[in-house]
Amino acid sequence: MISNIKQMFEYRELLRTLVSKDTRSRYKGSVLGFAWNFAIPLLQLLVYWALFGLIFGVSSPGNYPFSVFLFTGLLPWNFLTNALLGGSMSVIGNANLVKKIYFPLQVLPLTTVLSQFISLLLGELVLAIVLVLFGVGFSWYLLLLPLVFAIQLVFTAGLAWFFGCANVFFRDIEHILGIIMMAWMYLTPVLYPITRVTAHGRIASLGIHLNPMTDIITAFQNLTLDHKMPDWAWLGYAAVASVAACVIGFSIFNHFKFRFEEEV
Amino acid sequence: MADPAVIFHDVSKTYRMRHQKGRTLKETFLRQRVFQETINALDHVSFETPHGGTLGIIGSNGSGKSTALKLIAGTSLPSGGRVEVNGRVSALLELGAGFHPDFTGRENVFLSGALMGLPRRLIEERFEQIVAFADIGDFIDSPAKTYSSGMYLRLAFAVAVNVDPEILLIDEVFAVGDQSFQLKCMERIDRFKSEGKTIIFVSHSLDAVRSLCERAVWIERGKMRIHGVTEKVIDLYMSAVNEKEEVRLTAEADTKEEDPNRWGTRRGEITGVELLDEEGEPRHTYKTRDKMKIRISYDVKEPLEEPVIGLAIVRGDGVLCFGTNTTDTGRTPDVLKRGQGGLWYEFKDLNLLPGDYYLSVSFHNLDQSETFDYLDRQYRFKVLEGPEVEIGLVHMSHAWINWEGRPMKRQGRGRVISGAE
Repeated sequence: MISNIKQMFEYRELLRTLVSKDTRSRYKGSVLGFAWNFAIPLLQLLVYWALFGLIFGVSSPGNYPFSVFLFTGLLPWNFLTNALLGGSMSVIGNANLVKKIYFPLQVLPLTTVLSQFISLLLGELVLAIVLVLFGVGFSWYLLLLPLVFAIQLVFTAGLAWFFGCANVFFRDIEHILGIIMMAWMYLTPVLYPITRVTAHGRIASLGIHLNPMTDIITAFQNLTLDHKMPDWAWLGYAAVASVAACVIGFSIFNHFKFRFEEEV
Repeated sequence: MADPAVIFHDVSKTYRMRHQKGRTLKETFLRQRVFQETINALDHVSFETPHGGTLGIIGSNGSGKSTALKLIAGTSLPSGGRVEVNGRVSALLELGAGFHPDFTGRENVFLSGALMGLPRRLIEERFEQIVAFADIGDFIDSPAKTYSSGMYLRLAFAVAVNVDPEILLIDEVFAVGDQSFQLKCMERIDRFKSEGKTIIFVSHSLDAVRSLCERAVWIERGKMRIHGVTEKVIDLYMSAVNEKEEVRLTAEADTKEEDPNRWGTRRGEITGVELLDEEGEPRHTYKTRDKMKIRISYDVKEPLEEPVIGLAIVRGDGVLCFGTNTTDTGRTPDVLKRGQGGLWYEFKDLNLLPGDYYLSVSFHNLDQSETFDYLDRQYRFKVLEGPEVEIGLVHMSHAWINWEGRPMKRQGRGRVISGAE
């Protein structure tokens, strides 16, 4: 494992080049180009605002519009979804490289994760503007955000390595992953406040918190919207789970990577 | 350095062949058997090459040559045995594999460098050199998708050779590209050789292997047949190839049937045409300047006045190489009586250069108003590569003479760039 990490470090130039290639080529050929990184979250917000604010009039769990609550949770959620869908395709999508060129293949899923992470950060810039416009404002709690970003990044990378590897051997993954992500989203307090679940007693509360994404997303919501400390115990649990996911995903990937050349 | 650059120690590689790529979950969990067969791409192969050595790997298609290169490059692991590589490898397995068509040449140079694990600084240092070698001018700042295939190739080759590899793997890259590019590549590779770099070269062009490599390995169906000095390995390989070709062409000649490429009134019939070598043995494979005899038998059904027998040699691509008949040489008899007979034709020097050839035989009257029997390209033979390296259609008797008036002797091995077989 150490040597596989070292190898990745030796090829950091490749990682850098591939991430920049990925980021720049994603919207290549479109009129808006790079601006899509901002346009997509903005348009998403507009839809939620119209749907939940104007049509359904859903009441917000705090002193901010429901659409802002949605937006806060959806940004990290979309990062996870895009990174995993992209990550699952990262090895087979680069079959020509895998077959023809020797390089540490573990950079491929990580490339997707990092380039989606850049998109997330750009989305957070949009969120910052939204916070000002809707009067939520900023607080010192935002300084803790990098910690939560780091936990999610580690978690996402682990899963991306796992799915990137699994999809080489089982092509079903890429089809079923979309459904899994949808189901998972409903089990995570993105579209509804966590209090809706925890109100149903200890078992329900324990159940939803065991999902590391719950703890990560509620931490985002606590820090940005409620201006309060996250639930440290559960965030600590999420951090441990993330490191475990990362170690396991990375190990599985590296164990099977020498067979990719034959399978892609 | 005492350590060999590349060691294959009892290396095997088996591939599982499946009709469909990837397994579905259902197949795995329900343990359904997919039709599988294993292929031994390499079967207990051992060889090594020292630092600064040049090794050619030869063998027919699908023999496992490319698999061997993949193992050295590290894109694939052996199923058994051990592959040891000491030194930084630059692999010319497929030029431009890492290029992204939307990126400019400049960006692709850096991308390729990164794929080889090189620091950006090194590529920056070499950038001018790479662009100069690739010779693509202002196109360096245009997207790679606008490149001609030649430009694409030149740039990719330029990157691969300008990054100081210690071990260079080359897989038949000269089959593509024009003559001047091939020449440039060969020059660059020669320079590598003189710099004491290790080169491992896979090619179908025996000439290229002969001129570049000191030692060669012949792999056939995954098994190593021989490892040794290039000349010897190639000789053995060539004689095996000739034997195989001979068997195939003989079988083809035996199964000859009536076909539309034969016509005539059949008042006189060609009953047999045999190609024979010097010893009078039937043979369908020759080397340039070999002796070749043609035995023609005919059956005359009724007396024929002033009959002519002609023959022509046509190359596989339809070029008429040579034709003659008995009139031209004043050997036509006045009358040919009823009955069977025949004649010989002999080439003292079969001056054709390597290629596929067909023989046509005709039997007609003097003014060609009646064709008795015409066998158009019915007999096939092959001229295989000999020791001489010449290109074109025919060998022409020649001599090189230096300015002092003395004939120049053949020294060492000639070098040829052409990838043509």
